[in-house]
Amino acid sequence: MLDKLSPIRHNFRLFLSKFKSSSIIEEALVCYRQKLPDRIGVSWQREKDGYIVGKVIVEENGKENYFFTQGKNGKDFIENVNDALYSYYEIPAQYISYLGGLEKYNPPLEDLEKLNDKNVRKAFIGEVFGKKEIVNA
Amino acid sequence: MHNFMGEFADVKRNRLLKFLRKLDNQEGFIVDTSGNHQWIIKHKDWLRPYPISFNHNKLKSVYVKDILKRVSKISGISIIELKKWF
Repeated sequence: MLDKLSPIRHNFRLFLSKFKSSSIIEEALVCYRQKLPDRIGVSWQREKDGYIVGKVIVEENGKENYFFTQGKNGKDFIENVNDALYSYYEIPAQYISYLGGLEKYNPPLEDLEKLNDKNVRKAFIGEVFGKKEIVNA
Repeated sequence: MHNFMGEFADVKRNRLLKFLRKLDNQEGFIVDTSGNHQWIIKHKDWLRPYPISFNHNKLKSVYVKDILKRVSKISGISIIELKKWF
C-alpha cells in the first residue's frame, strides 16, 4: 500500500501529470512569481562522503528564515535548492517549469566552480539582504 | 540515528519516512509530498512549511538535527523522544 508520503507514488503521479494538459491559471502564475524571492543566500559544506549540505537563507518581511537541503554533487545540490524553494513557497508542481524550473536560482560562475571542486569543503554564496547580487533569479 | 557521543548521524530514507508518518499523526502537523522530490512538514503555527529532499538514500546529520530541533521546539516533544520515532 503506497500512502501519501510514498516517494514512488509521488514520482508516479508526477510522471502521469506530464501526459495531462495541466491547467495553468495566469493570475496564479503571477502571484507565485511574486512570492519567490529575488535572491537567496546559501551556506554549504561538503561532507566526507561527497554530499553537499546547504543552509538556504531567505528574507521575508524583514525577517530571515532558513531551511536545509542537500545534493550528491553541485548540479544535484542546485536542483534541490530550487526544488525545496518551490516547496517552501508552496508552489504547485505544474507551475515550476513556468517559473524557471530547477535552474531558476543559479550561483555565479565562481561559486559554481567551488561547488564542483571537491577540494573546497565549505563556502557561502551570496548575502541575504542584497548587499550584492547573489544567486541570480 | 545518533552515535554513542550523542551526536546526530545520517538517517536512511525509510527510517525518515517512518518518522514523518508518525509526525503526520500528531496534532497540528501535516506532512505531504511537494515539488519534484520533496516532503514538506507543515505546522499550524509555522508561516512556511519545511521542505525535506527525498531523492537520496540518506539524509545528512546536519539536516536531521535541524528538523528535530524545529519539531521539538514547536511540539514540546523532547529530541530524545523524537529520536525513538526513527
